[in-house]
Amino acid sequence: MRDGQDLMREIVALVAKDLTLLLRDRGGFFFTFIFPLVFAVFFGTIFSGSGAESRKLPIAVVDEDSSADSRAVIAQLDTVAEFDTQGMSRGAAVEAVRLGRRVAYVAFPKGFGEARRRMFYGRGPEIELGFDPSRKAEAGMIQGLLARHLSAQVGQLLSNRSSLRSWIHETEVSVDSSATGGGRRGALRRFLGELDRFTGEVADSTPGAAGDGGGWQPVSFKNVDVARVRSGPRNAYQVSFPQGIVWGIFSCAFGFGLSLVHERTRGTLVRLRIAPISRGKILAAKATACLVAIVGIATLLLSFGALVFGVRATSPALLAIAVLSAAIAFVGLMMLFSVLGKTEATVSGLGRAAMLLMSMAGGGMVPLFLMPHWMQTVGSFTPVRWTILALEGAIWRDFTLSQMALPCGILLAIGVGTFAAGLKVFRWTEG
Amino acid sequence: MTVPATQSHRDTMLRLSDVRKSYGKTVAVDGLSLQIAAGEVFGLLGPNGAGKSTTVALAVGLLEADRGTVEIAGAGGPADPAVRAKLGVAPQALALYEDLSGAENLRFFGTLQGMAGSALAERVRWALEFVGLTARARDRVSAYSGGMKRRLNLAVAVVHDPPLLLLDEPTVGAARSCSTRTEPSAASKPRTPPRRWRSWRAAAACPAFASSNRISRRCS
Repeated sequence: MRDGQDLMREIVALVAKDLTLLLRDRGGFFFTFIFPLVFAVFFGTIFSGSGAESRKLPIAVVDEDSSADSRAVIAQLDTVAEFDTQGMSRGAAVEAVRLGRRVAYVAFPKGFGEARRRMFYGRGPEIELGFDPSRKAEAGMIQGLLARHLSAQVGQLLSNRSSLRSWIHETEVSVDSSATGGGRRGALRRFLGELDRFTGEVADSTPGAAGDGGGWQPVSFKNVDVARVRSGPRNAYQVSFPQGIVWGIFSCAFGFGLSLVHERTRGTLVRLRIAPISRGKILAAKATACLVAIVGIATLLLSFGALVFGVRATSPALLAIAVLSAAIAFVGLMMLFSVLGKTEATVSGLGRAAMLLMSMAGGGMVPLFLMPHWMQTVGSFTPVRWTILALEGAIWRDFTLSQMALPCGILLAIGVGTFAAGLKVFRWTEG
Repeated sequence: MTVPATQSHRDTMLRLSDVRKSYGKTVAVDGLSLQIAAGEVFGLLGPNGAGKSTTVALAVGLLEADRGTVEIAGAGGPADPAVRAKLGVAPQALALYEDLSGAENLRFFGTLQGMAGSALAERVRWALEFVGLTARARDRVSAYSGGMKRRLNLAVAVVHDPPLLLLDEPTVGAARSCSTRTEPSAASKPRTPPRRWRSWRAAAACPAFASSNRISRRCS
C-alpha cells in the first residue's frame, strides 16, 4: 500500500518531468519565458517613448533678449517638471518643431525684459509660441503652464515689499520719461504714489514684515495628496507588463494542452495511465507543472519590471491571487481545447486562434481603457479581459479584496468549468 | 471461447472471464475467457484487427469491458492502482520521452511505480544493462536509433520487476541482434532474467491464436 510520501514523490516526479521537458525545448522556452518579457518591454517602450522622462513636453527655448529677466524666466522654465527644455537659435527651434523633434518653441524676443518691467502702461511683454498645428492640445498646455509660472513671478514681486517699492520707484521714473499722455501719466503717478504709501504703511505696522509683504499673495494653492484615487497607470510599463504576463500564462497553458495531445499521440499517456497512480493525480500533476511555470514567468516579469521600470504592485497578495486565478482559467481552457482536436496541429491552431481573438477583444493587445465602450463589452466575455483587469487591479487600479473578487471569481469559474468539461471527455488513447 | 487454466486459481496472474468489447457495431472481443499462470509465457497471435491490442488494453485497464471481468494476480481488476503495480507493459508504440535520456526515462517511470533511492538506481542500472544501453544511458532518446528506442521501450516495462509482463509487438523495428536478445529463444535468453521469464520458450510451443473474434490455444 502506498503512503502519502510515495504519492508526493510520484507527483513531484511528474511535475519535474514536465518542467524538464519545457526547459529542454528551446522554442517552448523562448515563447514561454522570453517572448512575454520582450513583449512587455517593447510595447511599454513604444507607448512611453524613452521611459520615465517621456511624459515631459519637449520644447525649444529661444532667448533673443538675453536680459536678466529673460534668463530668470528661462531658468524657471527649466525647473518646470512638465517641460523638457532645450535652448537653441530661432532657426534651429523652428526646424526642430517642423521635424517633430520638439512639440513647440518658446521665444523671448528683444525687449522682453524691459517690457516685463512695465506694468499698467505701455505694451506688456510678449512671448512667441510656435507649435505644430496638429498638436494644439500640447500648445494649450504649454501656454497655460507658461502663464501660470509668469503669474507666479508677478505674485512674487507684489508680495515682496522691498522689491515692490523698488519697482514702484523705477516705474515712476520710467513713466515720467515715457510718451504716456499727460492725463493718464498723472493718474498713473497718483496710483504709484498711493501704492508706495500703502506698501510703506503696511511694512511699518506689521512686525517682522520688512521683506515678506505681510503674507499677501494674489492666489494661493493648497496641495492635497490624492494619489490614491488616480485614474490611470503611472507609466506605460504598468500596462504592458500585465499584457506580457497574460501572454506568458497563455504560453504555459498552451504548452500544457499541447503536451497532453503530444503524450496521447506518442503513447506516453498510456504508460502513465497504466502506472499505479490515479488519472486525477496524473492530470493534477500536469496542471501543477503548468502552474509552477506560470508562477515562474510571472515572477520573472514582475521582478524585471520592478527593478528596471518601477512596475510595482500596490498589493502583492492580490497580485498572487490574480496570477493564480488567471492560470487556473487558462489551464482549464487548454484542457478543453486538448480534447477538441485529435492532433497537435488541430489543437495548436485552435488554441492560437482562440487566444488571438480573446486578446484582441480582451485587452491583450490594446489597453482596456483605450478601447471603445462596445469593444469593452465584447471583451467581457473573454478570460483575457478579466485577467488583465485582475492584474491591473493589483498593480495600479488599487483594487480592494472585494473588488478583486469579481474578476478572480469569473476566472476561477471559467477554469474549473472548462477543466471539468475537458476531463469528462478526455481520451487517454488515440482514436 | 475459453482457454483452460494450466495452474491453480491461486497462481493465476491474469484471468479474463467472458469478456466482450465492441466499438459501435464492431465487436472486437466476444466471450473471451483465459487464464495465464505465474511463470507461464502466453503468446497471442493473429492478423490485424483480430482483437489482440484490444485484449491487452482490457487487461491493463485502458479499456473497460462491455461485459465480463478482468482480474490480475487474484488482487482485483486493473482499475485499482495497487493492482496495476503488478503490471509491466511494453506498448507497440514507442512510449518514451524523446527529450529525456534513457536513464531519465527509466528513473521517471520507476518512480511512478513506487521505487526510490538505491533500489531505483540499481533497477535502472540493471534494465539498461539488460537491453544493452548502458553506454548510451545519458544520451537523449531523440538521438537513439529505432532499435535502441525499441529496447528502451522494453526496459521501461521491466524496470520495476513486475510479476506480469505484457509485450505488444515488442520487436517491431528492432534489429535482429536486438530481437534475439529480447525474444523468447533458447539460444538468447536475457543475461540475468528472473526465474519466471525462463519459460519464454514455451510461448512458441503453446501460443493462442486470435482470428475473427475467436481466440484458440493449441499446445503441441
